[in-house]
Amino acid sequence: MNKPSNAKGICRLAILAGVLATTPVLAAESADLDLRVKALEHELQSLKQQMNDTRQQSETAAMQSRGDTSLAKFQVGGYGTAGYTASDQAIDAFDPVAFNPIFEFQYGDDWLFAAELELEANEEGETETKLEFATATWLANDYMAIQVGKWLSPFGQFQDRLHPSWINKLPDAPVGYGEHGVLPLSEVGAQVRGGIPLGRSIINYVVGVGNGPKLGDQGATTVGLAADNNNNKSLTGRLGIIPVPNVEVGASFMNAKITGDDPAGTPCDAVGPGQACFATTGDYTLWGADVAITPGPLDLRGEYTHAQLKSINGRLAEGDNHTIVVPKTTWKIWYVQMAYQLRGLSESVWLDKWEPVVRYGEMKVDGYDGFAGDAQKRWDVGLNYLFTPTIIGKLAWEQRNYDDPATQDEKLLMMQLAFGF
Amino acid sequence: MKGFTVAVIMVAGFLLAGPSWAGNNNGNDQQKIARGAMAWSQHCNRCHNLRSVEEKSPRKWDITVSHMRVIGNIPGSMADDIKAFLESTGKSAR
Repeated sequence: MNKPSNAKGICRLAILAGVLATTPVLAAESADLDLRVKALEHELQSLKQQMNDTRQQSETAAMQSRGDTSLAKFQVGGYGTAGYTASDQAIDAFDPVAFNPIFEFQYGDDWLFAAELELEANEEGETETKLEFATATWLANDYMAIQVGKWLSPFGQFQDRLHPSWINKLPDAPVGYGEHGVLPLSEVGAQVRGGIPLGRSIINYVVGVGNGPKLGDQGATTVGLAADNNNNKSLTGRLGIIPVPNVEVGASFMNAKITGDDPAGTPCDAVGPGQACFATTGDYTLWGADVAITPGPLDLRGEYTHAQLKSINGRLAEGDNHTIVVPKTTWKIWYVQMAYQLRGLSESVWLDKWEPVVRYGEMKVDGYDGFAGDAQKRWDVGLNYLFTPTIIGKLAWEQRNYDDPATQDEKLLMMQLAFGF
Repeated sequence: MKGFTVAVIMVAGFLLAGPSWAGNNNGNDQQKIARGAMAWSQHCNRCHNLRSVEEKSPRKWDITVSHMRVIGNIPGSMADDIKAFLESTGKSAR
């Protein structure tokens, strides 16, 4: 009976001996396994790094192939315009052709330089070149941009935002709002502007200081003078609010002093009673309001501008050899305009591209008769065809009823192709 | 005049610091893109017809929106949202 017991003991001893004998081997294998796992982990990390490197290199190569790696970005935009005008008071003719390239340069996220040239083939066959604006802008933070250079006047909405031909719904500007009008066009100076969100609303603002206007044969003109003949600087501003999306209401102001130009320096004792002598300085003040309602296909907007020039002595044109006394003069200009794109009214793609427009505007002048030649009531009815959102064919009929009885009322038929790019 | 100058300096300092109560552009990319699409449709046509989103590359949209932010007095965070939206449509168009 002892034999099985002995055999069991011998077996146990053998197993124990075997275990003891193999333990170093297992330990060695375990250590080897750890090393291999670590090596694999290292290899995996290395492969991951290589993958990341490769991906970055491929992205960089792709960006380089598009020229996209530099901080500096550049593009050319702008618009071109050609047209034809038939009038019952003038010879029908193709209009001056305009090409307005806008060069935009951005450095990083915070610095911009933008400039617009206007190249125009005029009635004499010559090419006129004008610098519409050239501004350097620092985007100081989300709510403020600081701009220096020659900038479009932020007074109202038309000049700052709406005057490019592909944006303007009609071939010409509202009376008083274009060139040789009342609205300030541009300034050389500095301005601060931006927008501040207030829930769903946005408040926006612009305040600018510039050289200001000068006296001309149409009154005071603010056309971006790169010089000044007095130390007073114009102050221009606009405060707007977008209470709900697609609705904007704004109020604008401008205050400046204009010094009349009198290179002859006519002595007062050399002129007769009631005639002007040395040039003087007069106050020039504007205020205005604007509204735009633009939900979907509807574009309804209007502006009102009130300008007043206090009495001033000066010459009205460079060729004049004498000053005149300009009495206090007041201008009131306004317009309302409605356009409606017919998209969505039917299933016709063709009909979608049409946009009827109607505009009424007035310009009233009270004071110096020499400034009242363009005072009128003006009706416009137009029909636009949108080849694309930025390439627009316009056909418009315009009726001008002048306040001056000596000036014949005028009817015009205008056609225009505007090409924004 | 002195009072006016002080007021201008105070307002400028306030704006440079950034109003704390104004909105921000927090949120993930999808939220930015969604906000950008909404802002693009509601604010760009305040002045002009909406351009096709495929008209420009994302890089050119970046410059365009920066310029329009200044002209249209759009808050920077909103301009960033619009850029994110236009960039996303540019990627999907390629």
